[in-house]
Amino acid sequence: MHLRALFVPPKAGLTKALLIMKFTATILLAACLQVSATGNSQTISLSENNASLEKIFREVKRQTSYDFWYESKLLKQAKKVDIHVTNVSLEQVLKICFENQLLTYSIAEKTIIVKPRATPPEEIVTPPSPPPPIDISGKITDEEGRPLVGASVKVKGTQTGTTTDANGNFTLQVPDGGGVLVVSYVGYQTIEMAVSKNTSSLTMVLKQAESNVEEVVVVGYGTQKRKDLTGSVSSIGATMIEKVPVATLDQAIQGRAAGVNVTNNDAAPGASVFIQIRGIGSLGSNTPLYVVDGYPITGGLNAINPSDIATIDILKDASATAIYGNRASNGVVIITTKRGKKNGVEVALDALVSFQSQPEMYDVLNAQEWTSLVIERAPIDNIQVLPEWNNPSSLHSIDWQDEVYRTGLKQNYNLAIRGGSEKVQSAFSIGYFDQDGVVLGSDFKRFNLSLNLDYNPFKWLRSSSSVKYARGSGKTHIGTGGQVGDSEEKGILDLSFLPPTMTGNKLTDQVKDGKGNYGFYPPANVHFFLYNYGNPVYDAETDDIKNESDVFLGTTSLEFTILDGLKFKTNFGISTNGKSGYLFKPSDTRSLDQYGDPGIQRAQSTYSQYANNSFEWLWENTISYTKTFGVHSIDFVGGVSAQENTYRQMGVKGFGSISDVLRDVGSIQDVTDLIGNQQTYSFASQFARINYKLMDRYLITGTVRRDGSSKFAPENQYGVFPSGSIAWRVKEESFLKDVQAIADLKIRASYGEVGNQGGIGLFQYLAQYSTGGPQISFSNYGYPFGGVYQSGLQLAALPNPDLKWETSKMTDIGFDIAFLRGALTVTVDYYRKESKDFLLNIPVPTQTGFTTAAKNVGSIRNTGVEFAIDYRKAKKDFTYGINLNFTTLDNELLSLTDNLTSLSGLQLSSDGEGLGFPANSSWRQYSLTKIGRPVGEFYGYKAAGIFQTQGEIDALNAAAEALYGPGATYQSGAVPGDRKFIDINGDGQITGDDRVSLGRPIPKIFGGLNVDATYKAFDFNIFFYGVSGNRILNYQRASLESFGGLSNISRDYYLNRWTPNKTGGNRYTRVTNEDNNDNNRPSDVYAEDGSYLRLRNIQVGYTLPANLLSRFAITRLRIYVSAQNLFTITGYSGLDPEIGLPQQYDGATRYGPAGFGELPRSVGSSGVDVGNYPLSRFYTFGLNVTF
Amino acid sequence: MKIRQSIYLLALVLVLLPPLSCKKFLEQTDTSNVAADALFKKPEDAIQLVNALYNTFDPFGNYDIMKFSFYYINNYLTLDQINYGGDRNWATFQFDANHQAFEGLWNQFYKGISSANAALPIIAKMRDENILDQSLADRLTGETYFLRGLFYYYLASTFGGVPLELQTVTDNGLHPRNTQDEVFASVESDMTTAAGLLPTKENTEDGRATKGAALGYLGAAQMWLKKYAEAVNTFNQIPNTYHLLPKYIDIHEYRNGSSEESIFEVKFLIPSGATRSWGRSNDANWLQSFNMPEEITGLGFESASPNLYASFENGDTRKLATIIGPGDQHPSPRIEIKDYSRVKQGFANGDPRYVGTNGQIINTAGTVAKPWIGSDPSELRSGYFNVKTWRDPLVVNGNDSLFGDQGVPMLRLGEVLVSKAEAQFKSGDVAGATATIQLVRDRAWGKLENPSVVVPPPVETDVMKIILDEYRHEINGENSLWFDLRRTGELIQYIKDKHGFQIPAGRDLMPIPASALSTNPTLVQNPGY
Repeated sequence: MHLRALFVPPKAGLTKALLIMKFTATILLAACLQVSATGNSQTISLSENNASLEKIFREVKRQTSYDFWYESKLLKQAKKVDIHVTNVSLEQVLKICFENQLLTYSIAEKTIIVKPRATPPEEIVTPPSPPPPIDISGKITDEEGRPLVGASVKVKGTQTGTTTDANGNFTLQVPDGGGVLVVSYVGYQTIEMAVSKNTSSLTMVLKQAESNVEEVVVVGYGTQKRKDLTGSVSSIGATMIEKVPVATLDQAIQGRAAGVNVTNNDAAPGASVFIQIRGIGSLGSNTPLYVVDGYPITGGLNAINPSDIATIDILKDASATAIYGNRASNGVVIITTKRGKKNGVEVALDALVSFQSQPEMYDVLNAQEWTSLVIERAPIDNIQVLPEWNNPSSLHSIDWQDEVYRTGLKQNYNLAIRGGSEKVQSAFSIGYFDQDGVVLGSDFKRFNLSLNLDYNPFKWLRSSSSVKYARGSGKTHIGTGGQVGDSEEKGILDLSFLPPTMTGNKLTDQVKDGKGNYGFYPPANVHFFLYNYGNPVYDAETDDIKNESDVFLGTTSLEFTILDGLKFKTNFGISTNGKSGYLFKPSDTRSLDQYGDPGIQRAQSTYSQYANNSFEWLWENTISYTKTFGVHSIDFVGGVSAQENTYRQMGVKGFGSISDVLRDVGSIQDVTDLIGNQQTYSFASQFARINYKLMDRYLITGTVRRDGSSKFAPENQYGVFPSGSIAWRVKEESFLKDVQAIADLKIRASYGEVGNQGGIGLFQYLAQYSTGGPQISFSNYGYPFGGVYQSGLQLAALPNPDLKWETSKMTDIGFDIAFLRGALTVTVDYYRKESKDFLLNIPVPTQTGFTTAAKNVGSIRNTGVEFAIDYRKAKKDFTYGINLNFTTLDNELLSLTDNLTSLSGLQLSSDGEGLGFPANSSWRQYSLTKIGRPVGEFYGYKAAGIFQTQGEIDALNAAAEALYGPGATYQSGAVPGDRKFIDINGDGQITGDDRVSLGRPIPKIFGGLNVDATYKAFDFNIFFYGVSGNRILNYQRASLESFGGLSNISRDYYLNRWTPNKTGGNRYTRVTNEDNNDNNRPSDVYAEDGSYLRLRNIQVGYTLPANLLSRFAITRLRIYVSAQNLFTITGYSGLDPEIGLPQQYDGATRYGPAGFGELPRSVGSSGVDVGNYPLSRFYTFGLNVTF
Repeated sequence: MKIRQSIYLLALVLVLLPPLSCKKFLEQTDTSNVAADALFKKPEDAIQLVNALYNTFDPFGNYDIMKFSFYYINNYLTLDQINYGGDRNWATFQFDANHQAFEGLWNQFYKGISSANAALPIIAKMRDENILDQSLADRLTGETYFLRGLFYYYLASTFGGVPLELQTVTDNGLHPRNTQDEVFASVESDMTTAAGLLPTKENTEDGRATKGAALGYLGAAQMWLKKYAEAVNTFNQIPNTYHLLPKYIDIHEYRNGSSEESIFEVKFLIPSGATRSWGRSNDANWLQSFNMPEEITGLGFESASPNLYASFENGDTRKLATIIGPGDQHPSPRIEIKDYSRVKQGFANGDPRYVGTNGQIINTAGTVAKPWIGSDPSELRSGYFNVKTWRDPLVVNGNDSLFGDQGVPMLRLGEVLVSKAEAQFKSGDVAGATATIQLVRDRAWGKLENPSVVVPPPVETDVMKIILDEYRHEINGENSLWFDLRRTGELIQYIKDKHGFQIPAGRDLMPIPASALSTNPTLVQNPGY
């Protein structure tokens, strides 16, 4: 206790106290550890005269934290005791206590059970004794038959009780007259069962508490019982997450929670999914806030191993989210990881292997069909025909999809050891995930470590720590979308339209021959069109790519119970996030060697390297107070929070290494890009929440957070986000209390305001000057004078000192009702979210000197109804549960800015560049967000079939000439066989003004259906996910119907194309290399119904009989097989209707981390099929073992 | 129990600590940018601020204004050069308001104007604070006025009237267009101010604005305002340190500095060893490989009009310094067609396109029998090439050396003389006009080099027609022909006379970019669109 000297007695005064304050938290922690060491000793010192056993027991309990269980009347008969001991063992103390008593004791775990002495000492006259108690023994298991270790079994109304042993068994003495056993276990529903002399061996099954009103829900800075919730919170438990093998936790959310729309829009290994909670809440950032074990993270979702997750709680309305203030408007996802249990040890081993089938492919032409088409069109389109094409049978036919697609393999192994004692609980886990994707050159590996440690040295002190580390490594060489910019990199989109034969390489016409030669297309001086097509297999196999991430998340907290119900907690967390990698493309001179023309191939190698890292800390202090006064209960939490993030990036890119084996940045001959800088931003907040409960039936919650963000000018940094909600537990009212039909009914209503400060970068409020980069950079602001470069300084962006956070006003009205004794529960919520002041870089008049500026603009309203129904039925051998949830979503843009209200005012469409749309293509605009319409609506022309005759075109042109004079046309460039578009505005010409809405990309309704069942040792899960009411703009199909540049086309188009000899069709145009009519422009031809219903998962498990396993010390062994994405019911003609917001890329950088090529997902670019990384079927074999 | 109390006390302190210590906590930093209040404490800051104004000309982002805005407009629309890339429709004026030629010029130049407007008060304040001495402050102020005037000069030349922003825009910027005359009046004012402040070219770094440049553009602006007499007067004030180069071919030779004839040039610089491929810095342009024959670079998006080739008079040395055709050697002493790698490789492979008439490796831009007409059979090229942009021997192919850094002359004495002749003619001095034209023609026929050369009289007799022909032949393939022709008021008729093409009504003015119209609804589109 020498450290006590550090703590100055209170009388020393405030000055010294403040001095102490300067000691860092490290010292505090050190002190605590010392204190703990003392408290942990199991020796007891006591000095009492004539003390009651109860008093001594209290003191023993305080010193050792052992509990005593006894019947109080038993102790009243006990003799008083004199005891004077110093540092003696518990046993010695108990020996003194029980000497000459009519009592004895036993110790089970950390509980000392006091019971009457079986054989009373002889010298004592036997009083008329009560009938001897009866022994009841039994076993406690969970629903899946797993023994529950350390469950509490008590006789109701007494102190008599025990806990179950390692096999879930217990033996308990019950008074002869019988009694009621109360069995409880954390996380499970408490059950009561009457027992009597006649009761033989019992098996009691505890149900997990999650679907019950007793369920505990994690809300911001605390927990609440679901029955006391006034806000809208969806919860997903570990058992649900385990049902579907997923790689990342966000995938686990899909279809499980009403109001949450999860789209697996990019199935590349390690790719993230797109999550929207209650619609599009912003034209800028729509990412929800993730809080992991109390830490609001800014990235690194990948650090969390899905199998470590205990619960995911999704806070949806303002009542629930307002405590997270200016980061809450897109909802808050709270992730709680599994912690050690108080008694016993559990070792769990989970393993799975998934085989992924080769993706479906588009049916495109083979070399012979394609060349026949080229030769057919050559005289009309002036196509240069290569001599070898005149001998089609000699051509080697390539199906690029088949060359690149393959079967995939996914493996996942997790080992966890969780357990502990009354004072210390720990949960350790290690996980390994490895996936080889179904597209050549794509893989992802992840290694997770996690340790959760809880320590209760004293009744009044509890420490909790969580440490998580993850290392990820992966690449996706051929990813979603098409060729990016001028680069030679290919995307999935390109695979279907690369010409099906290659004769550029004189050594081989194969994709790759046995000698390591790769084929290529002829260079520019041999063929004008083919030269810009590359061999994606060559790139995937010869490029050297590495992308790695290191994520560390550590939090540690101390919670002090100052008085009963009054707690203080300090929580400190650190999060680091490192991303690094490189891309080396070796030089390629084959085409240059053979033709003197490098074509698209690179004569020089290229090399880029980057390393980005962020360090973030969080410090939060909260005080909570819970108290019940008669019929009133209050529950208060309040606190302060500070968070600071420092992000550093470095990157270099260049051409020309001396040698292809030399991978050294220093030896790059032409450095073209060089970045390296650091940014810091911070948050500071104060918050409070109070729950008031009257008579257990009237509930009121008030929440407020004052949140400060450094992103805004000092006078705009702080926002206040209040919310209030009420709930009425109608079931508790006398008129409903006895109505058997309704097991529970609660009505809720909430309103509040929350904010969003994502969407823009730092310093948008301030005038900042920049040099634009070094001389070598494309963006430098300097200029050469006298043959010498001189740097320049320019305003980096138009400052907007008035910038502030986005605000969402949320209303939620809902009810929870339960029927059939709680077996059927229904939750319905109506929600309305009006969001405004989106932080966007929007176009501004160029006269300001800038084309865009960060502004607060616009408002959107999202309304809808969430519906969740859950039914559970348990029979002797057969239990099942059905969960159905769906959400409707109506979304409307209410306003833009004061002066940009017209249709063409603010075109929030993406320009499509990042999706791989060709430059100057009409696909650069395919969506339009306009007032009164859903966000991101598709925008294009309406088609009216095909022009069958020249006469038809001439008549329209004549009408146009009458209006506009000689040379005017109805539809410029049209010839028979071209698509005719409708003159919407009736001006006699087809122009950009004839474009109309082609439907919304956002589903009107989405939801999931889960069926779980167990029959004897078998368990089943079926999980469907579906969306309806949205449209998909099928760019992939438009590209399959384009022969421009001699690209390959679909066989369907080939067989049904319009020709002068085969007229009449109204769907397919003529095939042409020179499409002056722009037949494939965005039009309703490519806007398709995007509704689908997908069998996401089907699983069958079998748990081996326990008696078989016990000899191997295995408590449970379950094997299962499952299949994911077995079928999809959809009318969509593309390969996969699950399309959200594709990731976009800028320039030539498809690879690399955010900020070095990736563009933010824009809500104006959702629902367009640009050739997604395919999501094919998984067949999974798995094993769960518990020791 | 004392431990417990101490811990509670510490706990209480911890609760209070963050709010107390967080007074200045909400500050952010970004090491790649610097806030305005930390800058402009030393003269270099002001110099860098003005340096960045010149960067306006550099291609940035998707805008390559030297190529699209200046070269396209002045060459494709005058029909003497023809695009064979994605912009073939320029030959029939079928471009639209979305083309980056217009958006790039508009966005880049308003960016420059806004930066200039912001720089003027900063320079004045630094002068007041004695951070800048008077001469440096004058120079920088003069450069800023010159560049602002220059940006407006080209905006109005291209679009007609544009919104005139002469101070930092602090409102929403929804200002309507001024008239073309108002804009040129502003240019006149800025150039007058600049001419009074700027040093002469000997007293400043090559590439910077000079007194001579300010006077050159002042005169040009005055001609737009039809103040012809004033313009003549202004041109006469241009310092006599500018000289016509004796050999016309030398004007566009690749060099490091401006020539004696150059009045204002846009400068580029590729440092030795830096890439000439994609990934280059923005101090490079690709006018050269864009215009060179596909047979040499594998690229090539334009060729020149045989009509232009035929229009030169006999003996005019400007002809082969401007355009070469089948059978012509490259006129520059630095360029030998036979030295290009693709030519050598093609010849070695027996490709007939690379075999000269003598059976040896070709050293001409194709042959009459086998002109260089590209490999896209759907639209063959003319076989003629602009050689004013084809002078840099380091630009050799369409892959790793396709960008060059040859300076682009924007205004040179040759053009000023033709303009002066027009101004003289229009202010009634026909004799002066004829004499001025004679200076231009003398050089064109080589008389400055060899006084014995006999320069023939012009083909035309009408003085205005002579002037129009001189504009065409003196500055063809450069960056001001369309603007000067439109300034004469004879543009539409002239194009009809020379090319038999009727410019669609209203299309002598370029369209206000669609993006500008959509962000500023108060702008009214030009009537031809």
